[in-house]
Amino acid sequence: MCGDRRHYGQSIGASHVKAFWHTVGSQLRSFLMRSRIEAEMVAELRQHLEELTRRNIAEGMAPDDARFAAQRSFGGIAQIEERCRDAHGFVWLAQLLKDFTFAARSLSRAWGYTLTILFTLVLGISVTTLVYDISGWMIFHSLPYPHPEQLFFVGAKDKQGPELYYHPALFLEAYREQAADVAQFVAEASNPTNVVINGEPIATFASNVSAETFDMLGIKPSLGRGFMNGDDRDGSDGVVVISDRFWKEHFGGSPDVLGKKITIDQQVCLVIGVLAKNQELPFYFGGDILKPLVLKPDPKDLFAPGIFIMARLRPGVTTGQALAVLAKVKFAKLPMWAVTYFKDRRPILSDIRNAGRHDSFWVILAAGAFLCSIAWLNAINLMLIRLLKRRRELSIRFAVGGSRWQVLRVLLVECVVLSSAACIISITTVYWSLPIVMRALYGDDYSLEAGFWTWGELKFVVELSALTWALTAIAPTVRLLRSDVSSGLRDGGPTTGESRHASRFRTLLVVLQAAFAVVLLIGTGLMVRSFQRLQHVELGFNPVGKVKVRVQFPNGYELGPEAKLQLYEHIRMDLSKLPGVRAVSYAEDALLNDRNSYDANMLMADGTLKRVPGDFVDPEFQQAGGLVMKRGRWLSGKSGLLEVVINERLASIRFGNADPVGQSVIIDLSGKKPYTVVGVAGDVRSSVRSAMEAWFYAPAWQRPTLINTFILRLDGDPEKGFSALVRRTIYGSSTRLGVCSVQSIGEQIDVSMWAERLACTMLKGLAVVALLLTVIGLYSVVSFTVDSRMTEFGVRVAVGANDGDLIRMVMHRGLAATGIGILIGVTVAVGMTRFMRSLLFETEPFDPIVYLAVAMSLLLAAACASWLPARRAARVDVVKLLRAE
Amino acid sequence: MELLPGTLDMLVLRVLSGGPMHGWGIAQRIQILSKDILQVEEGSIYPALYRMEHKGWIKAEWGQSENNRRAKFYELTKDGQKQLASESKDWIRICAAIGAIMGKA
Repeated sequence: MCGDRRHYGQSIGASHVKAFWHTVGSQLRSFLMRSRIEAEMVAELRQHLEELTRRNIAEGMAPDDARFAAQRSFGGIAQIEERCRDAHGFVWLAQLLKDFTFAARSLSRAWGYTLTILFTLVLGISVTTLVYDISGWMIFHSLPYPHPEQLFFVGAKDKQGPELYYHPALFLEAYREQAADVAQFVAEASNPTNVVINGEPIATFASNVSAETFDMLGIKPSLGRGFMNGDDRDGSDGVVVISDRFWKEHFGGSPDVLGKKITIDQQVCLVIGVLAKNQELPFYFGGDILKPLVLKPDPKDLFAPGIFIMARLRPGVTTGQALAVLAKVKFAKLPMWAVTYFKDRRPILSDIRNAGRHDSFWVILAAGAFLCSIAWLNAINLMLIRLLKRRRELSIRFAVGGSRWQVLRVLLVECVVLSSAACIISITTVYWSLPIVMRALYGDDYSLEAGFWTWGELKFVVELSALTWALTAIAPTVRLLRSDVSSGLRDGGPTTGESRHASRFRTLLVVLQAAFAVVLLIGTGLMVRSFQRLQHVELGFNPVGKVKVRVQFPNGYELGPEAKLQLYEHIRMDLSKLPGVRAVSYAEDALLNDRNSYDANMLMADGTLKRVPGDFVDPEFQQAGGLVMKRGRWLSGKSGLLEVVINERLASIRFGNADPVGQSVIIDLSGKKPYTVVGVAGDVRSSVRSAMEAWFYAPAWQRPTLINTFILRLDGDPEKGFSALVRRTIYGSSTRLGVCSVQSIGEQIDVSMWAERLACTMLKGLAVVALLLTVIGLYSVVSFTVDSRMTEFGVRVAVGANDGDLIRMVMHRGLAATGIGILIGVTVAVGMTRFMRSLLFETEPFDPIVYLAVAMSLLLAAACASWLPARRAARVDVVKLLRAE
Repeated sequence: MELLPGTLDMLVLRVLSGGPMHGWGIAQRIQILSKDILQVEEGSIYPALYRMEHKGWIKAEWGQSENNRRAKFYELTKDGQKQLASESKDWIRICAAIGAIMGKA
């Protein structure tokens, strides 16, 4: 206790701080002038020694004795020099530099090991970063708007229905008037009218957004300005803001785009702003062209337009409070049918990030995490092996007086060098490969410029590398701290005599690797199978050669039902003249409309009302859509005739086994009226994923206002340029009718499966990499084991074992470890894939074929990985071994 | 007798409070002042000197020694004086405490 420096040094706090900064400054200075300081120190000490010697001589000693006595009373000069160097405090820095150079040199000498471990780490880190970037982005990405946690989409949901975000126009005003205390509301309405630049209709449409949207989201255009409050007044709304991509594509990216004219539905609009390059817009509010939203709600036509509503909650308002207020909002002027329609719906607030997200991304992320773990396990194994190989060298270090800390420092520095190298290489790899991967996954939407790079990814790579360093450093550290130092020197050979504990730990790592790989592969296998089934689902009609053209009149455009039908007939004639067109039909978004149909109440045999979805179609629909008639005939389309065609499922529900043709059924379409069933059609799915449902088809003339789709049947799939042809044709018939989209059914199906396709592609890539890493890992471990047991093999050969025996011995180890790993992996997979059930299409999470295939492939990989080293064992040269002893 | 650990710094500061001195002079001084009771390995004051210079308690300058050789002279700084004052106070307190216990025993 007495003599405890700390006790003496108890001064006031301030002087401690001052001393600290003085120390830091002194350290830096010392480091920079270290050679001079070193020289001075040596000189000073030498001088003292000489002075002592001189004194001793003066006292009468002989020169040699004097010197010897002086040295003795001075103390060990080498140690004192070392302590002086320590006192300067820059030693650690110089030492670190030395450690780094040493580590780099020793790694470059063991280049096989270095390359393997770098390859493993780089593969692990870059693939994980890519995965994080592509799918994690969707989940973790934070929105670039101020206070994004206050932003929500307003939706509605009734007890059994889906969540709906599409509202009648008059809802916005009602919310703004009655719920202003809790939130600020803006709306978006697609403006599916023709966009014409220099007389040519463009394949895009405008998105009408409330003027306050720009302020609410804090969006600043890169050129010009956004919308301001006055812009959404009728008459001053002739302004547009365009996206960066649109600007580059149609205006060549030239800075004089401001003031240029775009005609949107016969209104000449000026470009007043261009959005920033990667400007992100909320899901429903996106588009190439933004125009101010001018709402003129029409109680007779509620969804003219239909709008999406985004709300920003006022500070301090919780979602619960907001929902309570929203639930009490009253909508005036609703027609009777709407009151019933909206009666049971409750408002919901949905985080704006949820739209467009897909659950399969979680699977991809999990797979990415597994892959990273496999890479890390690999790396740790390799480090442990290398540590064993260097036992001799490290033991010598101990013997010449190095402390455990010094040896550990060498190993840790080596880990740092490896992790940093892996980090830098990974950054480069990701930088160059990211656009290629994005292009492969998302198609031509992505340019190949390697510019898709934000700080987030860089940060991720660095964090992963730091984690890599930590993980790879732990195992050797633990090993070292527990090891018996001298045993390394006592052993005969360089690598024999390791404890069983260590060898078991390495085997454990191999087992874990195999388990991780198994889970990843099983997840991939399930998703792949599910996707295959999805692609081959029976739709009920042939999707080849069918094109859907969605059209819509601009909001507020008055065209009487008669005139509308006449126009559609006219367009139908024009379209039928196009090359390759066999049939043209118009309907209300029929054919693979993802359940966006009109639900009508139908009177069942037992007197109850059942909601049945149905489409309003014209007589050509059966030809154009390729529907199969099972009984009777199709609609005649004669005006006034209340005909209906029902599908097989509806027929059996409503009429049982009786023949429905000629029967009457009461449907509540615009009042309960009796319809005559003229035919029964085959079942058709409304989307790839949904089940076959009861369905009816009613004549289009009943609701001309709702007709918005042309179905074209072509001889084959449409060629390039067909969509522009369709647009021009329709534009020729009516300049007011906007073409929203021209899409083949095949394309629509592909698009609807984009998430699954993306997931499958990514998972397949991950599976291949995981398998590769596992093989590398197993090969390294088995190879090392073989090397360390060479003597043993030699002895076995000498006592009569043959090649086959040795090979079997070696492979047995590898396969056994893999086998255990497979068992563990399968168990974990059974537990985890339960959560995937909602993602899988007609595939059970416990699909025996997938599990078996995965197990087989992993065993095969393990066999290959162990076979090469096994062959090396078999070719052991006994004579050479004995000579080496 | 061996020096108690940690007291070397204090002794060096005390010696320097009498004026700037070079390394081996300090070592001599300590030996003389303690009447040879304290045996210090002379070289061991150098790590202490460098450490204290590092902390800012003393500063060093090259100069000429009495026998016309170049030597590094150490001098107490203001911080060093404060440090010496506080260490001496603590030392006296501790010695009093120990003395009290030993006396009573």
